[in-house]
Amino acid sequence: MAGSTAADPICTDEPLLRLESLKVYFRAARGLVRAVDGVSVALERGRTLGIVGESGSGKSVLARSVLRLLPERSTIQTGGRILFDGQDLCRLSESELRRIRGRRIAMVFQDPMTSLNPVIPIGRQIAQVLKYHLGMAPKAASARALDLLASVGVPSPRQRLEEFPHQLSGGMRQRVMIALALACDPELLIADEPTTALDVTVQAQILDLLHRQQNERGMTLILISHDLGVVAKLADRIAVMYAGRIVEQASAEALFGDMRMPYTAALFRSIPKLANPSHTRLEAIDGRPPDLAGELRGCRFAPRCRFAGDRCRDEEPPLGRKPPDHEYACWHPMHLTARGGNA
Amino acid sequence: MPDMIENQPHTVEPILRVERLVKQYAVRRRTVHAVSDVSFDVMPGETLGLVGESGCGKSTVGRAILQLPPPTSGRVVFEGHNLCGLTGQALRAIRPRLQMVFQDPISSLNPRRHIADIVAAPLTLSFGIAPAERDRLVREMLEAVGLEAKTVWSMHPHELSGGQCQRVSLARALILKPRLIVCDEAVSSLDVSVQAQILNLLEDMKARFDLSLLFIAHDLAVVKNISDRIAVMYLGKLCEIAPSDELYAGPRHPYTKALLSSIPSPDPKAKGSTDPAIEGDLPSPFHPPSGCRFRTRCPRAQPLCTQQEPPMRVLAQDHFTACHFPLEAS
Repeated sequence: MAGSTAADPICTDEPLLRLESLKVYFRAARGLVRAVDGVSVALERGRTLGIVGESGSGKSVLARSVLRLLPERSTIQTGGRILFDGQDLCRLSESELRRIRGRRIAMVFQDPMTSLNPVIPIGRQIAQVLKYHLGMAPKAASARALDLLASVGVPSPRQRLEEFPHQLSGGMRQRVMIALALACDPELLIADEPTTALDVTVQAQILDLLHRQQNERGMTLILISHDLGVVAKLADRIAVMYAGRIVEQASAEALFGDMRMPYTAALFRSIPKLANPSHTRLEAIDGRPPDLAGELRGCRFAPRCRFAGDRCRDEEPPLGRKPPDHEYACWHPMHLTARGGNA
Repeated sequence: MPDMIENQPHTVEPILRVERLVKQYAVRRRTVHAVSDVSFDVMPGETLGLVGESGCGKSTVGRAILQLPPPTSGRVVFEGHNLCGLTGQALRAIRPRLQMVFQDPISSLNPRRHIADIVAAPLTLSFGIAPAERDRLVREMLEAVGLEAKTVWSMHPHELSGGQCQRVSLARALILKPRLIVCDEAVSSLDVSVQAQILNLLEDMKARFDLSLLFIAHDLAVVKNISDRIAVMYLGKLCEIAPSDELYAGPRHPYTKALLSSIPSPDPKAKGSTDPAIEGDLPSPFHPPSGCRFRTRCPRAQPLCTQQEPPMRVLAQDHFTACHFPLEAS
């Protein structure tokens, strides 16, 4: 079964967040969509977990399910636990959750325009958060909002307090979103594709901001992206998702040094690299991910995998492990490549 | 004429020559300077990459070439004919040879049509063609772009994935046997594994149908992979044009260098430097900065950069840079 890590913790310290064989399904017209299907992962305090995957792999659903932000009517969480600081978030009531959301766990979304309230000046939006969670007085809250805007690198923050989201550029809006998320000094920040809507030069600024804020606050970070490059830049540990599962996870060095799961390797090879000469033939992955509402048997990558055999199509692969903490779900794991080594 | 064109020794005539292209839009009594004086050539069989961040005017250039809408001033010479000023019948006679593929593969296809009809549409518009011959050509194009004609024939766009829709767009562009295709962010909305499929397909189609490409995109790694030469745009102007490998190995314009170093590398060994290459945001295209448009964010800016616009100069064979204080060749 999936989630064999539950009984066998990877790390010795008690992690800040631990997901144990989490399953999140959606009811849809075409059937039950198994968006997250047995995910186990642990994250220690102060560390950064990068989650990479292509669209539809379940990475955003996973992030939202941690905060229980998914529509209740269509979502079924059939199993698993979400342990945050030892507490199972699945067992909390809505009012208990509200004391954690935004305060101890905060989130930054991809699209800063739709995540901010368009009719309220940004200073007041930040102050509202401070008032709600920390019970700050209006004056103190606006002073703190000013500090926050300055700390995330918004130029002339005093004027910006009065401005509306549409008056800011995409990069500035994302800085405001980060200021909002950091307002209550959360222990865990979940950033879901925080730079996907931004230009590369601005993306570099935002990644730098996240990195510095994390170091200053000793915050734990989950960074979700489809871009292996973005994740490589910040993450200590990387989990690769495919069709609702984590198919490989390891420290960033171990993962890039020694990819075991053919999907990870194929994903890496399909990215055009600046260092390669022009017209280098890319190794595309044929086909597309499976329909998560359909019947899923064996390894979910098998139909697209070059190494797949009969067993891959029939039986789910077990979780292989390379000490200390490199895990991969594959019947035919790849072995040390030329650029490998136990870095 | 801009000196970049004079300096470039041509033995072959370019298939496309863009000269001093300007496009301005009036927005609430103000003027957006979307493209200001852009000149470049595309040679037969060449892929020219046009790269820049959002709002730099790269898509406007692509559309102005196809006269969608026509530029404010400047010339677009395609196979020896200036397209600017042409209208109606004359423009329609040229368009089959000049096609475009757009970014959003799904919304650029008519949702109510069958795939076969979408691919056949350019044929029906351009020529009187016998139905049997039309079907044969559609089948041939669908197979060429890697779709099974039989399966997708009567499907609608929403039944296909983004990558498959982009293949349909390409089949539709190819069916009139064009000479040049303008690809505007043609792979930007696709997942990397699918993006690689489409990039490979573009290379194959280019070889098979003897095409030239103008490949517009924001992702420099993607552009470098497919292009022979790359033109870098910033706020409506060209900063640098050079052969792809040379541009990457030795950028001479500070903006090109910043753009290159902003790209996160999928290798954790490069993790150490998280310092952003440039600060700040793009200035407003309503009031572009005087002199060099990059000066407000440029670490090398001097007073001269405010006063005088840097001309496009040739710094090495086929390497053109518009900068008063270009970086040293590496």
